[in-house]
Amino acid sequence: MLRKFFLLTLIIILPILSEAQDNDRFQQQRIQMVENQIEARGVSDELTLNAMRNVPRHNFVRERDQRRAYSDNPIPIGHGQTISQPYIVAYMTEIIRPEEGMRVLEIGTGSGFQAAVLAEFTDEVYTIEIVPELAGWGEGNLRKSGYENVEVKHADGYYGWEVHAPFDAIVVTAAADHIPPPLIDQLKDGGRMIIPVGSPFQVQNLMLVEKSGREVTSRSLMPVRFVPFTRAE
Amino acid sequence: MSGQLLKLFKAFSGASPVFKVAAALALSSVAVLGFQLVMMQMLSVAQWHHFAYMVISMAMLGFGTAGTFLVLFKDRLKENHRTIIPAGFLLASVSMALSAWFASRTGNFDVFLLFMDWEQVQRLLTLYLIWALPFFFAGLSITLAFFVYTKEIGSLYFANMIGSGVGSGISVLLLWVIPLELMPGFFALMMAASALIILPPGRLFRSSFALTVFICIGSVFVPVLPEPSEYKDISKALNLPDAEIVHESFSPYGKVQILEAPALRFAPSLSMTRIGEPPVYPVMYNNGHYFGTISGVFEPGEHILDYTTRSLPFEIRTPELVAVLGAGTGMSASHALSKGAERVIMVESNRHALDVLKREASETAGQLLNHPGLSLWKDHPRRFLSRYRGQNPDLIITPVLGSFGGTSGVGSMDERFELTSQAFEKMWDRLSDEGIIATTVWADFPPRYVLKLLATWRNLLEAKELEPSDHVAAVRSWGTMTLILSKSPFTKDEISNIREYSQIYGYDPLLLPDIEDHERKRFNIPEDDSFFAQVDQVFSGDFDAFQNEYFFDIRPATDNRPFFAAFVTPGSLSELLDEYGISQLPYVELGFMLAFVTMFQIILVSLLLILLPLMKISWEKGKRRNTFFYFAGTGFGFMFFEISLIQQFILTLGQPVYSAALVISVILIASGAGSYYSKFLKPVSGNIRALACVIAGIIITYILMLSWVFSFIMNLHIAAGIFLAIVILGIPAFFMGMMFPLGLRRLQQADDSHIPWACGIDSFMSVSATAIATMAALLYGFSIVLLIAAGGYLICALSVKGLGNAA
Repeated sequence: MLRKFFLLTLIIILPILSEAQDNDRFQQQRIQMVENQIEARGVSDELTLNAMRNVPRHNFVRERDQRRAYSDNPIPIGHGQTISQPYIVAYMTEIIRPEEGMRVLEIGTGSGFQAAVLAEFTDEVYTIEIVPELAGWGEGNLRKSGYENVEVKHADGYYGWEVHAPFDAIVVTAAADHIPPPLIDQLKDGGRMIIPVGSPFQVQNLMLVEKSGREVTSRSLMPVRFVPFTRAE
Repeated sequence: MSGQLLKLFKAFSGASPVFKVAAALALSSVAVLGFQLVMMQMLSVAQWHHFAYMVISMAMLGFGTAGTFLVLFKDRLKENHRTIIPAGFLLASVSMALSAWFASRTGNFDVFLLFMDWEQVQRLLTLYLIWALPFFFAGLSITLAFFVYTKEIGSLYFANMIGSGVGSGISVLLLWVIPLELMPGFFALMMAASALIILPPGRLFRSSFALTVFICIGSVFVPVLPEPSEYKDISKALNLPDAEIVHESFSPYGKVQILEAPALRFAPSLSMTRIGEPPVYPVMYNNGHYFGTISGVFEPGEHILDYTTRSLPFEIRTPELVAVLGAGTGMSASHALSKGAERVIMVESNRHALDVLKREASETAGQLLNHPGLSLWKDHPRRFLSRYRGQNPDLIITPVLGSFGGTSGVGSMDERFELTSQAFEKMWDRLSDEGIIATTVWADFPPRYVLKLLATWRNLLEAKELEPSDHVAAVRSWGTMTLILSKSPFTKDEISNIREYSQIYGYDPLLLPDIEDHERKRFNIPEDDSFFAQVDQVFSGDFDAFQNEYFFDIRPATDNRPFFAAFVTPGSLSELLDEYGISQLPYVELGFMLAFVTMFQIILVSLLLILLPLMKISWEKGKRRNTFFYFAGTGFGFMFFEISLIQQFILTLGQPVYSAALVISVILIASGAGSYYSKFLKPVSGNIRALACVIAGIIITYILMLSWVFSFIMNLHIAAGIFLAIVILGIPAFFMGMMFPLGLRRLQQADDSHIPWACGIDSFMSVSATAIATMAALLYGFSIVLLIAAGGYLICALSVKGLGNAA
């Protein structure tokens, strides 16, 4: 009887212990990720860094990719999409000048990771995903990780989310070859829209769209200081 | 009918064994080459065309490994050749029929993930094995036949070459009529038929044959076509809600699909000043790549492209006659018509796509193609530029360069003969006195496309002793740049118009004769001014100094090295590696990296599977040295010649698939004829040396003459061009075909144990040469590749004396 009880206890406790160990390991990896991949490359905004330290990135990748969730790379999530490299997520977050309580729209939920990072410092995060499978999976990842404050919608991101507009910032993670006019309309005066430009595995540059009155300007930002790509003298 | 068949069967039954073997060899060779080209097409549909070269290498590798297998087990195989040769054909047939099904079982291989996911490497290796198997079995039977019937090698090699040549030709024709997914089964049945010709008596063989036929027919009824990569354009579009493929068809040009989706908007780098939803149109894809948006005719007035930088040339002049090169589905042509052009010449080489547009999209594109102001040239832009004799165009629009977000370098292996220095020279000559060449480039980071284009235009203008800054203007939006090259200097009014136009649409001037720094970054602000400094240095500064310092190769493309999108050199590879790291570099220059990796893996694998096992049976204190050099020289020379000419003939034939089919067919058939004729020659060293020197001489003459010959051919009707191509290819190939059988006969006279070894060396060199020639053409140009081919034959000339004798 005692042996049975002992075995039963083991069966119940071992997975819990193992999960706790995994969580410790992932947390350790997260701290290292922020230190080595993000702070080291110049991201210094405290809200962004805290968000990156807190969001369990391993919950936002496919199970078989969990081991490399904190690596310095984008990771495929299916449907031709990726979860961006941690540094790019942090850089994009910093660029929109994060503030508590700001209203942010994300176009392209994907895995839900960027929305989770935003939800670390504001309760007004709205995210839209056009691919139904990703919308369901991304929302599931967010809920599983405890982000109830993110509203997810399966729809065409072209039209934005008018009922919640205007937005302080719009983060476009699934860029198209044009900037939808409704998104510019839904951006607050003085608001910022950030768009990564590049292939799924390599962001070439980030485009920051700023609205000031009726004038809209775009600014190219290099995520890592690549230029000028010439040999040293 | 049945009586005739019976007569034929009886005649065949009574034929000599050698005749039967030759017939089987010919038919199996048709099947092997046909299957090889079908595999190339299938992989182009599923992945990228870089795998075409990989398939050629796989085929050669299968053949090479078969040669090694023969060396190691030659006595047993020779003893049982009557059963092994047909058995090899049957196994080749089964593995052909099942290859697509087996490949689909390995999981989704995706080349885009190759550099970041170890599982993909494992899948690729498994696919290699699956693809190489049919070639191994067929190669084993063919090489064994050569070995057993060495005295008849001339006839057998002739049958082999003729079959291969025919196979390459008919597979292209069959692609017009048989759906791609049915083709492996078709060629598998042909391979089974070749086994039937020499099938030994007995129930076991009859049953095996019946089972093989059953599997082949099964593969026809349950065909498998590999899924396209999820990173291809069409896969992304299929993710959109309610996306639907409304048309799908195959041809040698590839798999054409038309897709409709409510969210498929056309607004490439749309000006941020435009209000309102962009139009939604069906989109055509070729092998999964974006080919064009199908818009139809616009009424004069507003066109969506008015809100992109592509409208720049129309803002400053009103062209009456416009030529659109590489016009795709005709979006730029419809734009020109809407801007009031009286006549538009739409030049597009993909005939299949144009036929589909007329037939399937008759309400939209069909209207455009039938528009009275539109003339259609179904030809390569270079052939148009050479052959067009009408009124000179006022505007020539080239294809848009790059793509949104960058191309990841997938196009670096593409021959872009319409973008070489010689092509722009032709465009300039064709233009009216006030004419303009317009090119739109997607922004890429770090900049490459725009710098290479500017370097090309600067060279052109300087050669004409014109001041480049007076003739070139450019504007930049957030995503694209449009550059215009005018034959006459821009007037002050035109320059003022460009400024005003930029202001209205939120663009920034990039190049104007009197441009000032501050106006370059009014609406679209770069992080710093380095891009402008690069543009200025390439366009008007010390180009050589800039190129020496810049990581990317931005020297103008030429007809000798027409790879406009190839920007990496071996010298810059280590620096780029330092900058990007091993995980990111492949996504900057995927095409180059794939070619590079393919080359190394092919050399390594063929070394392991072909050369090392041969070494096991000893080098025999250098006795085989001459055998090695002779057959290495023929293998290398033959493949370097073939690969280089496949790429170069695209210039005159206009299409890679047709070029490959024609060059391979002619070279193989002429080689087969040469091989047959070789039996009338004595395999003495004097004859062979003279032959090798003649081949090397012809190739060297070609290096000096080909560019002139190609210019001449481009002026001719396609039929006359093909005839001349046959002559140009056929003469050296006829002589090349003699080298292999003469060498084997020389060996056979002295020591026939060298023969399988020689076949193995030839295969190893052919395998490696395929990949190395591709890379050498990319980096150094076709002349160097041909020079190496000539060098290969000179090595044969030097080593022939000791061939078959102790060194």
